[in-house]
Amino acid sequence: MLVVGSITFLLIHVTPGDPAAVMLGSEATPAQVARLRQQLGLNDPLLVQYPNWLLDVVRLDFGESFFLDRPVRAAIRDRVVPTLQLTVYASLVALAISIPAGIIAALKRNSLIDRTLMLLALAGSAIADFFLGILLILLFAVTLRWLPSGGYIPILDDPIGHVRSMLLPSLALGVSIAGLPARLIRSTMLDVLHEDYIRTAYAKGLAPATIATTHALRNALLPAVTVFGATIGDLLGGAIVVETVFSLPGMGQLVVNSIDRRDFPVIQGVVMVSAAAYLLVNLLTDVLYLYLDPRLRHVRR
Amino acid sequence: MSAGKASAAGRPTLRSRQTGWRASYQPDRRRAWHRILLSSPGSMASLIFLGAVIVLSVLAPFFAPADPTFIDPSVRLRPPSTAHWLGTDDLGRDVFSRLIHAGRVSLVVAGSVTFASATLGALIGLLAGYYRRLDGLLMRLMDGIMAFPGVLLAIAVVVALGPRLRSVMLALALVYVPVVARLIRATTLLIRELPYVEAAHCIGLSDGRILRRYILANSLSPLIVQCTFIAAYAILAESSLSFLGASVNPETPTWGNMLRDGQRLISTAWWMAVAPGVTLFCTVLACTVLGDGLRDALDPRTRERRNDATFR
Repeated sequence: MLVVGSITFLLIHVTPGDPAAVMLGSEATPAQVARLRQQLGLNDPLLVQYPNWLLDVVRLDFGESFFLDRPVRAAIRDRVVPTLQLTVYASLVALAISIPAGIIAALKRNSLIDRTLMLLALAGSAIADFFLGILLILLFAVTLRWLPSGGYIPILDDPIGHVRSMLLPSLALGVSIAGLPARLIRSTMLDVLHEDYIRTAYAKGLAPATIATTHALRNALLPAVTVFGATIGDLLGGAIVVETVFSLPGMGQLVVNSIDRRDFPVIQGVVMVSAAAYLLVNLLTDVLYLYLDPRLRHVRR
Repeated sequence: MSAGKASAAGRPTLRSRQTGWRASYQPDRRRAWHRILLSSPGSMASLIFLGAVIVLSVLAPFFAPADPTFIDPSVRLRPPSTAHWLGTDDLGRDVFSRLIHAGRVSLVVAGSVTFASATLGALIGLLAGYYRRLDGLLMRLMDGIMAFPGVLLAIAVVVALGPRLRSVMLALALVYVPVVARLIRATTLLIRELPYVEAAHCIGLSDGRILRRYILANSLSPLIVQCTFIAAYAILAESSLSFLGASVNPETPTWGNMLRDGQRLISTAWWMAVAPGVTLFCTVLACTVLGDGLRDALDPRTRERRNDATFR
């Protein structure tokens, strides 16, 4: 985390642009720029700026936005809910697609179904999430007029409208990240299906469906959990892009607006928050892993 | 069980060739992987498609029916026709011409990012895997970079350095260096324990020579496979950046910014978004299919599994 912070800090300070000059616009006099630089503490040596900045970040204080006229923390807090909802829904979509697809492909391996599913998985990871979003808009919003093409409705205002407004973005993001886990679940399922205990289960006369779901799936899901943890990075990055397509008022819009204005504190805050979320999720997946695989618990001791 | 099988397959077999007595320790290896790669219809199609994209983009000025920046208000938003193969955009510019010019940005980014991250990543991976003392420091640094969501980190770098092609390349190379470093570190850790490395130590070869001629040489095939995936991701990531407006100057057509323009007019001119989107999709798909094909062809273990018909 310290490394993460330091990289962000360095990134901001190797930049050629002077934020003070950008803030005041092109008509500002050099004296005004100098006064603002003093105010923002930009004239202090880097070694003084760095500890101050680090302390602030630990307190979740990312400073003031250059343009929004308010603290970055408040700006992020206002925007975090749609992004969070989108990532959660998208992971649900991805799970709902990848787990059954992986199981079916493994059980029917080398059949037409398997080939089709794996081709789709490959296509899913090759398609750009925003292009998928645009295609979904074209089909469901422009041509069929079933769903809105964008906009955001808070869940408390109108639950049905909320689902309708989030359906397409979640699909676009979920499908585009489902490919990798689907392929992985298939290959681990194949490995597991060769194990002796599966043969024993068949010999006991258990129904194939029971074997697939209880014996095989539980073991096959283990590596998939790790991969899911790792796709969180793609998920967060993808959420930002997909939000732009569907004009959801999340952190993505915040970032996109800040790109044009070179509003570093905001971008830095969003990047830090996402990195923290990523690390947190990976910690959680490690814990989940221990919970799912009792064997590891004993190895540790 | 499977490991035993793999080493049996990888063991050199003595076989005399037409030359008579010369024993070939690597029977037809070079020819074999070519043949396997080319016998797979997917890889073949991918190679042809990528070749076409490269030729069209590199020679874009010759192939483009019109100047990609030429604004012709009399033919605004025309659907695809014989005059404009993929239609025109809202300023009357020819979409096909823009498309193949945009391919240049993607290819340059893919090529340079792949090269830069492979070189730097391989160097870091070799050093971290070989010199245990450097391992902690280098890999913590790599973990630090990997903790950022890739697209976000790239956005931050591009915004910091200004919207130029150079910053896009730098940003994406930074994102993919740790991926390569991790891979090469893992293979280095495996290879450095092998008897032939020990033998190389014994005959007094320098570390540099061992790293280059023994360890790097034997990590090349996973590295090449990884490179095709990095190229695919780099193309995707660059288009995401252009889509968000954090890439090259918007005057230069890229698949990402064409998609951005296309989205605005999706209800009136679907071809503006579909043309670059489909091209992007096919290019990335071709890279990944080629990567899978190369992995099957280069790695004896998956080749074995392929023959068992358990894989793909």
